[in-house]
Amino acid sequence: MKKRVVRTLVVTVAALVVVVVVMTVAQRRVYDFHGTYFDPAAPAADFTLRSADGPVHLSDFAGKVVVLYFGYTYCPDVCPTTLDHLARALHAAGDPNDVQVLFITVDPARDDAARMAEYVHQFSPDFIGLTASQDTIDAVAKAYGIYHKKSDDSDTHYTIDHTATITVVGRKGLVRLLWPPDLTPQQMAQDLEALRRR
Amino acid sequence: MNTPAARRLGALLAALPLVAVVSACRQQPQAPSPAVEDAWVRAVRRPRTPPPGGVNSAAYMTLRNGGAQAARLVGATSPAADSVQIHQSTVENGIARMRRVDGLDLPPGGAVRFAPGGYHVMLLGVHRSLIPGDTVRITLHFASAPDIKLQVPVQ
Repeated sequence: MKKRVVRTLVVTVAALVVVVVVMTVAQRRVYDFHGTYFDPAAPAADFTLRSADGPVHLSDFAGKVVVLYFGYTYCPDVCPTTLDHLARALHAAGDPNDVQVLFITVDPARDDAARMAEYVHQFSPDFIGLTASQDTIDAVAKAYGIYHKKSDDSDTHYTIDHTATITVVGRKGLVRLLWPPDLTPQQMAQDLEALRRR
Repeated sequence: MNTPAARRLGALLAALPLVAVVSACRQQPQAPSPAVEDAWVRAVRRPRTPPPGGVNSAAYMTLRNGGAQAARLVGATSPAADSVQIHQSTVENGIARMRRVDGLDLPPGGAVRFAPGGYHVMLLGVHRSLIPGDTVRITLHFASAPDIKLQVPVQ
């Protein structure tokens, strides 16, 4: 009688362990990204842009996860909020050295390389700010589906309407993820951790 | 006693207090200003040689109109910036836009939240770096209520 009870218990516990293991593995397999995840994914267009420390190519970061965000330094609201969220997201993910944030200006007329560096370093010393000629910026923005347009004709005080979606390039240079700008830092951190495991 | 004339007199007498209240309100020159809660300014660094057009920041807060009358925010000023404007950011279909708004209505009992990605008090051309722990003087102007003078902490 006692033996049967013990056997039943052992079998039940073993079954539970199996269920938990299977669920954990399954959950890892079907991690539900907060952003839009692409599989299959298209190769991310390479580019040559200018940082304060010299030319930067996307291919410089092969093997890393690259987070691309297009904006401009005169933007007082959406851009700094997003950069602040990105800094918090990376911090929440343990400031991994295999994730690189690149902030690309859509306002090269006002944002030179020094200004971009100054600006992004307010959020993280590891972020890189990039600029180029207007033609190059237009071409890179187009390659990533980034809309941008001056909203008025003032020479110095104009604002720019721009796509605020964030592009995440995986370690193999494929566009893996698009983040809407309203994700929380925690959601971004979870996505980054999942992406780094792939 | 219950003649039509008496009924009219009764109605008139009943309405008297209402007239008194309305005229009392009229005598009041200005409505009370809305209350400001949770105000903060975004920290920014201003380089020694600022870029053309200057360095911008934004202030955020909640404006609560506890009064019985509608209030309208019509502008703001600050000694810390070249100019101050009320702006609204919107993100639609992934595209962020920012537009100046002329004013903002606060219905009686209503509140408007100024928050990242929405309404903000934009500080154009700040005169110095805004460092966390500092405060920035901002004055809010209303259409028919007294100004509100704020010392807003930088975060």
